[in-house]
Amino acid sequence: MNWIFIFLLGVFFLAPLTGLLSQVNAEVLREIYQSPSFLKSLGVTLSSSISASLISVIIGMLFARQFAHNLWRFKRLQRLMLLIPYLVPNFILAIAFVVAWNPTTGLLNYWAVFPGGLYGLFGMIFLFSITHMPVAFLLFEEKLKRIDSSLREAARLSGASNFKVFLKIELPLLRPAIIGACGLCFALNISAFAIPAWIGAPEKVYPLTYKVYQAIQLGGLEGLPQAASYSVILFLLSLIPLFLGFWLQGNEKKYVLLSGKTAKESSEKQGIIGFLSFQIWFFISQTIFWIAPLMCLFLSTIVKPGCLQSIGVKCLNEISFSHYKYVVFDLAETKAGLHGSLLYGSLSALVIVLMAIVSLALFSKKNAQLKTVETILTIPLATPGAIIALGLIVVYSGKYGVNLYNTPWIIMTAFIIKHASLAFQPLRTGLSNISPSLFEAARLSGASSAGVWRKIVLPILRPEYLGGFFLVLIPILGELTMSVFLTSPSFQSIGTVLFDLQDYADHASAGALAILLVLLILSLNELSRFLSRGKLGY
Amino acid sequence: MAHLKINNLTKSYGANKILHGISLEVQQGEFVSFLGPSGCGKTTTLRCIAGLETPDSDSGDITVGDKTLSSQKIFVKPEDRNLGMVFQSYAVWPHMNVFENVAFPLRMKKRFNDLGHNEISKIVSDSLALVHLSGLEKRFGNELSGGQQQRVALARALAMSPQILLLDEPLSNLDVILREELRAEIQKLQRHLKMTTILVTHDQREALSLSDRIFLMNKGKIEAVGTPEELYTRPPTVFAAEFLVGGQTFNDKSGKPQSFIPRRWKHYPKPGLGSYETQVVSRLYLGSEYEYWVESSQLQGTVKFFSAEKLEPGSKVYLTYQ
Repeated sequence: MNWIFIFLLGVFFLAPLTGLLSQVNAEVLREIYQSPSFLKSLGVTLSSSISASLISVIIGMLFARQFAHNLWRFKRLQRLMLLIPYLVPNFILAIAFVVAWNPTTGLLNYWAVFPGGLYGLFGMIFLFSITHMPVAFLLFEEKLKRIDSSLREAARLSGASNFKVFLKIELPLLRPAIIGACGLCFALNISAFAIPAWIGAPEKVYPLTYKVYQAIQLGGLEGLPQAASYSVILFLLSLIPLFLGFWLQGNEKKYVLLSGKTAKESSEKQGIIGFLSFQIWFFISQTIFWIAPLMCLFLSTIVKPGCLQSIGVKCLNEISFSHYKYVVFDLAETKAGLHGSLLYGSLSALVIVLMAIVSLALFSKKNAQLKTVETILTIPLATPGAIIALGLIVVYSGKYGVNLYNTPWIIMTAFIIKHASLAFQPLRTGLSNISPSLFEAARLSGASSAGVWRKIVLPILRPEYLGGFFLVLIPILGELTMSVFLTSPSFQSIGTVLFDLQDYADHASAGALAILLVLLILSLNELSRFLSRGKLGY
Repeated sequence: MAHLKINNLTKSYGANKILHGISLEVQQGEFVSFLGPSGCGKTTTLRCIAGLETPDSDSGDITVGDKTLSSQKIFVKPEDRNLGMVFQSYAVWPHMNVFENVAFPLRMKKRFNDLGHNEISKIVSDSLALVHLSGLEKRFGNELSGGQQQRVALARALAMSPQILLLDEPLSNLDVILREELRAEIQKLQRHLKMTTILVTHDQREALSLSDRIFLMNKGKIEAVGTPEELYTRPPTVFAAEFLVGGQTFNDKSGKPQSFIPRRWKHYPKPGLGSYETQVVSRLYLGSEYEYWVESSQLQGTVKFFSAEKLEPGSKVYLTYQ
């Protein structure tokens, strides 16, 4: 019975992948892989993803060290600031950078030109780096906190300076985390669509995800075999970090770090010079990474187009919020987008949370089965959204008896497949933290297996599943890649509406909608934190 | 002159004051213990000495020999203090083998800069021999037992010939047999090397058996100081009696609260001068003797005492305090 459930889960989650691979046509494949444009875009994908991953890892690690080891007054706020480029959907940050630094009308060009020009490979690497740096940061911060503080203290007392402790103790201990973070950033970079679309495409720098999009956009369903061929190589690339992850899990035991007295944050004071230089670096970097671009985006929505470029700050005498009024009350597409993202996003999040609870209830005591479920749910998270979307089109366009194409259900399926493991992980951790004696006491008190879950486990896990719901909803609201492929007259998401507004050159309305979305996502993050009592959210 | 001198040390976490003006002196070569219940500030005091915690800005001085390590103006970093420390959680670096762990301070400390590879090897193998780990140089932390890991940590601390050896509950993660074994060895080593040593512990037996002097701590203050014999036989405060000797506090015949030490009760079958009439409530067999709990209306409580004689629960006995 349990294996049947797992089989069905496997079919549901992995069908799009297999469906897409079935479209691969040897002839088209050969033709594409021999074309110079393919090799060029493979080069773009690899060079941008690898270099951006390394930059994200280095910057993320430096920030993580400061945040994991020191306490200061506004730490939580500054931590949230650091995570903004990750919380804010990629396409909004990309739009903000375009408003701030596009070569012709960028608002900040007057003060500082973007080195090498925003559009093209360098700009893409820069945006990949800053949007995925928080991912590396979160990973390192967690690992650094898990390194028993006495390992560092023993080194300090042995005569190692703060820098030497980092070099000789922390860096070697972080090796698995460094490899893991590189893999994770790489996976996110190769599957990114928004940044290539906004920053790469204007200079005709096309990574593989954009090639997939182009194949469908130009050829429609006819372009599927071509898109599938690009996807194959993209999929193979996405396997690298996945295998790295599994390999690291197998080797993790060597690096078990917490023992004895639980590590507590050291109260050893950071020198004033160290603290000040961190603060200066923090504010300069954050200003460049998101404060200045988002401010520009905001300004562009409240003044007349072109005004700032021609007469500068004097424009601020005549500000107007009419674009906000327009996108919220008058623009039909906004309503459709909000309706689509919120309704189908919430439904998907609900299904995801329910599915996670059912899987855990069924397999909580069966390690092999739980591990299989976890693997099934993790593969789609590591698979680029474009592949999932195309696979769904193949599988659910009627060819195999089910036709969901051009309905909202297909995007819901995509959301569920892509984000399921986001809710599964925290619930699994929460469950493993519940002492078995709590179950046993309930059983001895007369509760049935189901009763234990209803009366004991679910109430205890409430913070995890409520917080988990929003943790899933946040990336769904900012989703663009899959929505672009699966949008239809009956479904639009906020992402696709923004994409279209940019295309129609209604930049001010797009900006206003983007700013509103940022505010919505930040509020949902706070709600997730509140509901999970600080366990989830940032 | 005292080797370590602490004068009015204070430490707070936010509004929560942990150390309320600790002052103490430790002589060269002396073995002292900071003993007290959890949260009394003993580990915090040790970490302030090590430089792992920063004392409050208005705190007094910590000096070792003629060097001030910490004062309102000075704060010497932990790496520049030349103090060896053994942690409760061993803190053996998992990515280095035993040899590399012990050699680490010799490679880091400036004063060992001119040591060559052979000299470092010599010091490491001497230190490992001291803790009976010769031959395990190539092993990694996860290939050693808890007791062996703690010996590595001890060898590492000894290798740099520190001015003071700091031991932060080094035995509490070990099982009973290993604990006794390592306790005896630490004592032997300390006597042999004559190294000034400070042990933090909440275990009375450990402090009594190892120390030249005990600093009994309570609520961030030093409650009592003395040799183990002085403190055990004549606990100067009610807390000292309760914590060290298991003393019980009752109102005596004159109505004043007094601390009674269980081992000083003698029991008789008949009333005598100043004796208390009691009734046996329970009896626990301890092997060489029995532990009794008796009830006394005169003392208004349940009194504990020990005797080799077997008494039946419910029977009447008369206790005299000596």
